[in-house]
Amino acid sequence: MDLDQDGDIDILSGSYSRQSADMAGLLQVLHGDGKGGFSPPEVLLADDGEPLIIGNSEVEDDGGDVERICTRAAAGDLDGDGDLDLVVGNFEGTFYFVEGLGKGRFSATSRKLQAEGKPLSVSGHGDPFLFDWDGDGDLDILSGSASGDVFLFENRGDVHTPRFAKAKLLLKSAQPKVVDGVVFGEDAITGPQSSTRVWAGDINGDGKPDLLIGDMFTLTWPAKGLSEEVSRERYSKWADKLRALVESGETSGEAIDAHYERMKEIVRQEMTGGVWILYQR
Amino acid sequence: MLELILTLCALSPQTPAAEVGEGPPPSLFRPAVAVTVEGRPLRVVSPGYACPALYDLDGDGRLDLIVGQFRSGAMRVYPGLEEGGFGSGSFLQAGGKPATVPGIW
Repeated sequence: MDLDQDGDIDILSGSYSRQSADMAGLLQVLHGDGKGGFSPPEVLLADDGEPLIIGNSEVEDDGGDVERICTRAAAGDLDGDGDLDLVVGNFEGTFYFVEGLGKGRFSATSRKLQAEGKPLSVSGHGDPFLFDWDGDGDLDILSGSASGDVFLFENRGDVHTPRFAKAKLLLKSAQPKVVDGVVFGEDAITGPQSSTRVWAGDINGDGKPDLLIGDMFTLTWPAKGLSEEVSRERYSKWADKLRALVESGETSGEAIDAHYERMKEIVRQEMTGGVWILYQR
Repeated sequence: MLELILTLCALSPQTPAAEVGEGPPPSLFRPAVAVTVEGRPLRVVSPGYACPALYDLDGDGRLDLIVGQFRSGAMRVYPGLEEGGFGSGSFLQAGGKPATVPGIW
């Protein structure tokens, strides 16, 4: 988005947390130069000259660090005054509104968005994306979540006074394919899994908005020197043993750790993520 | 540390689940299509998760794919191709070197 309204596209990023002070996921801006280049990231400052941090430790119902870390921000004019405002998600799964003051300036205060008297929330990882999903002229909020489910918070107000409805489930996260008790190989991942991050737009030009979704999952392959067949068979037995250990109540750290050490001789795993397109029918 | 953070991020914190007003109508979307690059599914640097967006970054009239990587706070850019799809990615540059967003570790 053109955050500072200078005619050039900018990149706005959230972050997990700063390390130099109380935990807080600062927002960072990479200013576009209009030629496809960007400046190094700069901390987004609020109108008081301090880093913009959502939440407020002085209020009674402040949720602490989980409200201020793992941020993702989206910009859009929610109150119709011509300035870009921010909606910022967090680890807790709630969403804060920060009023824009024009040309990349933002209020130092924020407020938690509500629906019918309760905070808008997803099950962890608030991931706002502002988009007129229902085509009624005002901005709705889309969000991924830690579980991977994707939600819509429909704006039932108008372009000057947003009023959000409760979450509507747009997409249930995909479950990895389990064969012989284990998840194995690329073929097991058939759709968005966990920790989803969303973007929306009419990708195929059919007049209906689609979703672009990033996610996270663990890929499992044969350990070095093993064929896939042998690795699958041993991994399946390893998983059976793990289930037996848990069911027997043998959950001491030592026993579980030793069992996981044996897993490394059978499979190698990689925690990664991919990108999916969900075309609307 | 990275894996620990990712594991923590993947776990739902001790907050109520989303209060869902209504579920999706059946079959709102077609089956998910994995974005591929050079014939292989796009993957972020491990450990990490993907945060994608589409925008015409190079002004050629085609949407490019920008994917936040989590690891090191880096972003990869995959140029939109004339024939459709995306070309091989490169790290987004800022100030002459790969951009890295602080605070992502």
